[in-house]
Amino acid sequence: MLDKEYEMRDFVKEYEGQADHFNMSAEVSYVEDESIVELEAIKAKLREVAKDDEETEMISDAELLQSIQAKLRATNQKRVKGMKYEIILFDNDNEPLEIGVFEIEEIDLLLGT
Amino acid sequence: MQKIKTFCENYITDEFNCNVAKYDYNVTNREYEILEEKVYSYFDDSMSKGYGRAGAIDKKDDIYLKLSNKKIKNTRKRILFQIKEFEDPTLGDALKRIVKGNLIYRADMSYELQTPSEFSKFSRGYYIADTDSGLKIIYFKRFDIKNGVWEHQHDWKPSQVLEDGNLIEVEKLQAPIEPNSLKEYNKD
Repeated sequence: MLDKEYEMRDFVKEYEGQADHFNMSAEVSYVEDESIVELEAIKAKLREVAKDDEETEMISDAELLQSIQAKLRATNQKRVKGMKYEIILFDNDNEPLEIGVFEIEEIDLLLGT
Repeated sequence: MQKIKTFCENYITDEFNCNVAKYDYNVTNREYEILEEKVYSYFDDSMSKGYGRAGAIDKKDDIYLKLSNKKIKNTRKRILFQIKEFEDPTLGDALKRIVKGNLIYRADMSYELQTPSEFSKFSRGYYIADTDSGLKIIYFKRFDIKNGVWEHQHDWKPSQVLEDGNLIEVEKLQAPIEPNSLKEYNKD
């Protein structure tokens, strides 16, 4: 997520001195079926961040599912599936200069998207 | 070093084709997905996916059509300035599990879009390493032109290249024009 924000910042910075203002829109997509939890995708991500194999194996499917379900019960927030940002840069005559479309699709480790 | 150079040149070409197609109304979403997957194949799976079309061509009003054409016209192949080979880098815990061996390479490249400012300047330093799936981009840094320093791709240390390690070899391919980039280019 932060990486994509830096990318958008760099895009705008490239037009420093040329662009006067910009419009940015953001679209959020949500998980449609709250009961679906992609355990394998989450475990694959955990394997990347765990210090060693032993640490990864310490978490069983049942424990992981229990932890995710507890987090889901504790919040009313919808589970985010992805984000799309659109930035249009304008010059000081309000003429459009350039467009950038940026997409984020990430596994939500906390809520189990 | 030659295989790293070839890897980079192929990535630059495939990324360019993908970036142009992203805003091309003649390219279907399915056709775009094939180009997108090809670009993703250069990256390790742990890297975030950033080439999605995200409905870039869904709108067809006048401004959007004009900007899409402009975007295609301004899209460029990145310039490959130099490749550095490092030994014994310091990697975050997550990267340690991905990289095989003790060598990593950094390929310094330009931005992928022609903008009003100088194009021949450093933008990204892609870190490439041998992994279980072959050569992959495992990380990148952005070059801060104003201050002449590299900044991390993100703030999450386990997935960072913390220290480049000992410099073994540099292959110079093209000198950048922008002064701070040129200073960095001439450093080693």
